[in-house]
Amino acid sequence: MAIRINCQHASRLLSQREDESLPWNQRQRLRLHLMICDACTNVSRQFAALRLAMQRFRDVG
Amino acid sequence: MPTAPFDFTTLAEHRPYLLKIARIELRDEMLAEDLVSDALTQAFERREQFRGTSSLRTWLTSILKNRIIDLLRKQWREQPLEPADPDDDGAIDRIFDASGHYMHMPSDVRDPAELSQQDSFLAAVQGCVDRLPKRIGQVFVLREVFGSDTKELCKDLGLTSSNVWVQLYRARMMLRQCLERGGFGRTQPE
Repeated sequence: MAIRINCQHASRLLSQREDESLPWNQRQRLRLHLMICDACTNVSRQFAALRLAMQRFRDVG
Repeated sequence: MPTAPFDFTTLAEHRPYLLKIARIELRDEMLAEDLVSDALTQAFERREQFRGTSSLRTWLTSILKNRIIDLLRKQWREQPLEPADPDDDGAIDRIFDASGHYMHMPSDVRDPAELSQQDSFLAAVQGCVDRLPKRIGQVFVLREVFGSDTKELCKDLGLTSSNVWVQLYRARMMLRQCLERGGFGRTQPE
């Protein structure tokens, strides 16, 4: 499998990463992709904001 | 020897919280009220089993979660979920062009921690969760609010792990699209 991945593939890994730790090779692919891709870096921050907002929903009230 | 660690009044103080999380999971006021009442009754009957190692709210949430899972299993058995193909993400694939790049640049939220503290953002997220396809929303809320991990989701809901990943992936991608329509927290959602 090629080391280069596209944004669609990266988006799946970004979601999977929210649920379990990725296998080492996938983690490297994602890391390399994020280094060169602003779009996926933005999505990774969006996912973080989503996770934190849901945590706040869960913890407050 | 712990004697009755709490009375029913203490339990009832947690009712509004339990209703809040039951509502976002079930999207059905009557069902939410029923399951929360069941959970509180069950908790009171089993109050001697509360160990105090977790908070009372955590314990009550786990009892409610079991009731919810029982209900979902029954509902889903009656109307089974169509098996999702990991490569067939339909509407989500239309976010990407033929080479798998985003058609529109995703918004830069800059500081996720700061954004998540804004009440307007939290309200927008809640609104978008409510608009997810029902089952996708239910799996997502079990994961993010009730704290189920993917193994539990597979076991509790009788789904394969790839199915769980696809449901959670679809949930997150649909949520980010929904939030993009409101500027992802920078402007008020419609």
